[in-house]
Amino acid sequence: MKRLPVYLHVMVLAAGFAVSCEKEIEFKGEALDPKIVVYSVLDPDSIITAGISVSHPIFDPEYTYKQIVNADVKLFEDGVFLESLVYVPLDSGTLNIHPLSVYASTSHKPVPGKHYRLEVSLNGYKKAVCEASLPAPVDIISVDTSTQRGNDSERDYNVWNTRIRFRDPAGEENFYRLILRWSYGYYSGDKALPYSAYFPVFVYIQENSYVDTKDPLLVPAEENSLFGTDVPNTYLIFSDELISGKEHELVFNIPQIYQPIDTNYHEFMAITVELQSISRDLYKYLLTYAANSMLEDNFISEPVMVYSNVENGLGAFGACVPSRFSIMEGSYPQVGVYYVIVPSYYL
Amino acid sequence: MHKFNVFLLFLSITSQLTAQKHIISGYVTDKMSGERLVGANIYNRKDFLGSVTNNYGFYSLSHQEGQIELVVSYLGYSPVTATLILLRDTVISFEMELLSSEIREVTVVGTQRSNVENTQMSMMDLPIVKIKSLPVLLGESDVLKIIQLLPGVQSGTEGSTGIYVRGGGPDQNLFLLDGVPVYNVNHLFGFLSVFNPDAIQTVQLYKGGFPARFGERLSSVVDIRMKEGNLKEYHGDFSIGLVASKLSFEGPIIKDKTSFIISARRTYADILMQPFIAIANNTQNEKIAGGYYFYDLNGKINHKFNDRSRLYLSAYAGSDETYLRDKSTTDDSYNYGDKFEYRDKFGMGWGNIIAALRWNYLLTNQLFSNTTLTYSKYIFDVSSESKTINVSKDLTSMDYFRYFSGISDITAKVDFDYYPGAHHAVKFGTSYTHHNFKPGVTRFKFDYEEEAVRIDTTFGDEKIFANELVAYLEDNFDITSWLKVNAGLHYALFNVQNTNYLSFQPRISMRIMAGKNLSFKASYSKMAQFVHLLTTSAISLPTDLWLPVTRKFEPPVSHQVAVGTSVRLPEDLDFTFEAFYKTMDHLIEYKEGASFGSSGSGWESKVEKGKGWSYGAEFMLEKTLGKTTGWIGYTLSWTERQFENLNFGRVFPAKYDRRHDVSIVITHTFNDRIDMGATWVYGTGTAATLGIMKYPSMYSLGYSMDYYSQDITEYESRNNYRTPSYHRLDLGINFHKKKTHGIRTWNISVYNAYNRKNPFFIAWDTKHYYTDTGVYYGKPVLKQYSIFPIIPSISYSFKF
Repeated sequence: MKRLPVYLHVMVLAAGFAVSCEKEIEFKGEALDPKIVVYSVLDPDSIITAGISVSHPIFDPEYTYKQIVNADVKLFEDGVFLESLVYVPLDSGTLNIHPLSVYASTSHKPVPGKHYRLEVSLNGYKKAVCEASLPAPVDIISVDTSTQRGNDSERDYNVWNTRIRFRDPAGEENFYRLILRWSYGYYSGDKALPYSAYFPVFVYIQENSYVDTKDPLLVPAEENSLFGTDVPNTYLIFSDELISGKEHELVFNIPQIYQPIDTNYHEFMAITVELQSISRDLYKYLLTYAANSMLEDNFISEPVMVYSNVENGLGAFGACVPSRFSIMEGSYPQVGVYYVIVPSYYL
Repeated sequence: MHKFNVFLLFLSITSQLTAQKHIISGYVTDKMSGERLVGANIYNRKDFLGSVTNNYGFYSLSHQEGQIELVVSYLGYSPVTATLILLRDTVISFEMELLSSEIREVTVVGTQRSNVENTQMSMMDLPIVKIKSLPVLLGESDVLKIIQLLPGVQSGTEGSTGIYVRGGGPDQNLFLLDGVPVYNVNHLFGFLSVFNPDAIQTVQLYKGGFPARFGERLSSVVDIRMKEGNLKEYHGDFSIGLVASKLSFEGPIIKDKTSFIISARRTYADILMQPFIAIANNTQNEKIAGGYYFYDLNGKINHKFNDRSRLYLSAYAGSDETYLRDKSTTDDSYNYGDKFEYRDKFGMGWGNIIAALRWNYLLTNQLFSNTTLTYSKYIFDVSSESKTINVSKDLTSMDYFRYFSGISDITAKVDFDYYPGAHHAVKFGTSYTHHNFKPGVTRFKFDYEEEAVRIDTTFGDEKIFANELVAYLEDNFDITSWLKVNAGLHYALFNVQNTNYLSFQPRISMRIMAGKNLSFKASYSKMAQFVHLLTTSAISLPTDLWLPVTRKFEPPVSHQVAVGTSVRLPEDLDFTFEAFYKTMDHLIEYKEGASFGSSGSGWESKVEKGKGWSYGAEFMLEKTLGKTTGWIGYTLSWTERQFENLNFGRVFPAKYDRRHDVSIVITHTFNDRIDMGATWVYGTGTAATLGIMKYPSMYSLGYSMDYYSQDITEYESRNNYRTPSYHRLDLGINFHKKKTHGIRTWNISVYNAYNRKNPFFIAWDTKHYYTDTGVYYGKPVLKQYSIFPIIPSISYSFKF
């Protein structure tokens, strides 16, 4: 089955009696002026931050992203200037892999019902402006989880059957996103020996939103696209197009994708399930970004342009309001256990 | 001019008309074969009042009593004149003779009335002799490739037969083979069309000013009529080319009563390549076989009951097939002592079957009827089977996949041609079509004996049935001696999913004579179509889906206005200018990122609605008579689209928007033994969506890869870039020689004679290098990929 797309590509190419030649040609388009790139997602539980970068011509071979420390990032609330966000230097221990320069508010968290605007200025670039507001939170009616044992040829594992019943507000467009945040801790000592507090439990925190579902709102990646042009719902986002103004029970299974834990050694596994209400702009950005990434090298498909709501710039200024619950095995943290948290970039 | 090649078959007297006017009617046929000639001109030399034979060679005209000199002309044939004193209604059938009957294919001589007098604008008549004289790709003449050379028609990708008429998409062309719609006109992934030129008698292209009898598509009608078969003697021809071989045979079953023609064509690369594939791929443990072929078969029988009644049965069947078989075994040592055998099969096929049963009946000398039953079916089918056999344990695992889609139509229709007087030619008729759409069905089957897992599931869109009722009325009439109008109404009712769509489509064309050699023309057409072709936008594939309009997706509608002028110049030259403006509503396209093969949801969830428009001007200078014939065509046009959810709602150029399009076509006959053809085409580059900027993605989006941020390619706009321009010169020469039993012809053609590397597609690639300081970089470079370099070809044909 997996060879089918390969066969088809071969057939299509064979139709041209093989591409007879390729040659380098001069790019004759108009080079666009580089633009400021802004990313920010308002979250009522978090201080307002923004990631800033700039775009560069595709044919610039020696371009490397640099931290932008001199951008002026102004934050407005309902049209009133609140503050200029402050550049946050990279941690000294952080790998220098971030093309985004982070600017953060000193104290402001977004407030429901307020409207926020970011104005980003940088020498040599047009001022980028973007706006966002927090959406209404998800009206969750009930949550139900049950654990089921599964197995494959290698191991036994848990599957958490999960049902979230919620009500979509009528009379407006709403957008949602499901996120799974995994926290798990593994004992670093020898399990052939009794537990020793000398050996730490390494704690990993990771987002991995893989779920097994037939729910039409989530429709995960299909594998039967003949030319590999189906875009999986990588970010588990959905609109209320099919459920507008109605109740819906989101049904999905969470397979245990990490190693089983042993509570005798104070190992644990926690899954935080977040059903977020997200802004339309964030939804469109995620939707188009997923398709853009998936199809960029697929010559069959028309390229997908990534959505942006940044005026005179690129990127997205979105918002989310999460509703969460957790599934826990073992317990964390426990008194007397030595924990070491592993930075996410080592994962 | 040959005179007195006139055969009066019978006379009849009626007294239906006024005392002063009488009806002259009859048929125009080929003298050698007895086949009826379509589109022959019959007119009185004195006043130029006349008529044109319909699709079955019938004409009827009325004229005042007295002496008239009838002239009958048809391109490639010797004109016929007949002088008679008209005293009563008269039936005269004319038999016309090719000037050089020994070598028909090379001679383009005769006389014909110029475009100047014709009311119909935006229509091109392509005699088959012209098609056969022009250079060909891989030794295969192709009707659609000649149509691509006409103004207002853009070609698709390099070498393909796709046509885009006045800004319309590939689904907006109605291809009629003997009046039956053909849904997929492509062989060999679009590089050849399904129309075998050996079986074709006439080809007409309408790109605007549509007469009311045509409907169903927004942008063009390609009306192809098959030969009828020789009523007098047996003839045939065969040809051998690099890609395919053809054989045609025709003759009388009952002389002058019943005739047949049969034409067959097949590629043979799959057969010839088998030994090479085996040598290249087969090993002791693995055997691979694969290939591709297409075939088509045209057949027609016609029976003449009498001069009023004739029956035709025509059929076409054609298919493209690709296949791959891979059988291998593994050594026991790799599988814990078990021996495994793997069998993979893959197949993909697509094709059409069409048939038409037609009865012509002459009700009166002024009323001709044609009753038709037709069937048209197109199907695309792809399947894959992968078997793993544990030979040691006799256990089999199998994955099976199949996807198919298609459409089939059954139509009944009746058409009438009515000639009430000298100044009117009325056509009217009605038809009913039952459509059966299969939008795409996928079947998966898994059977793992060892794990006792069996899944057999079929899913996809349900069949959709639809009913279409059409009625039309048109009149081609002279208002004054200088003003002629073709006015009509096309009415269509389409019923699908308990929804009725009604469409009234007015059509009008007019011609104003401003002197003997100059006319001005104007037309307006409203067109609607009730099917969509859902194409994966980058290339044209047989996977493209034919779909009906539904409750959610309304019928696409176009409005086209055209104005133009025709001028007859010295040296048998005709100059035509036309300007057009066309709007198209309710168009559909795949959503960004969606494609035909996905099964997550129905096709309606994968498409977007939008609109388009095109405008431009076309120029054509044509010479149809003499030893040197051909044309120079130039089109200047703009084609744009706007979809609410594509390109963020902004206007973008259509994929086949091409600002300038030039074609020069020349054929020259040196003598009866040698003729040559040359074509040169130039086109502005096609629109492509090309990345021009990069920027980082949002960091940490809840998916592990995003911890590292990826670069996003910024396109600015859909179809924001133009590929390099396209130009190409093709040359061909034919050598004919009369042999004892017929005429043999060697054709030598050179496609892309100066080896222009034309763009098939362009894409960014990475060129790796180190700087002087030893730093490694990957430099993005723009690459153009081309497919057809200079391609010489040779073919041999023999006509007997």
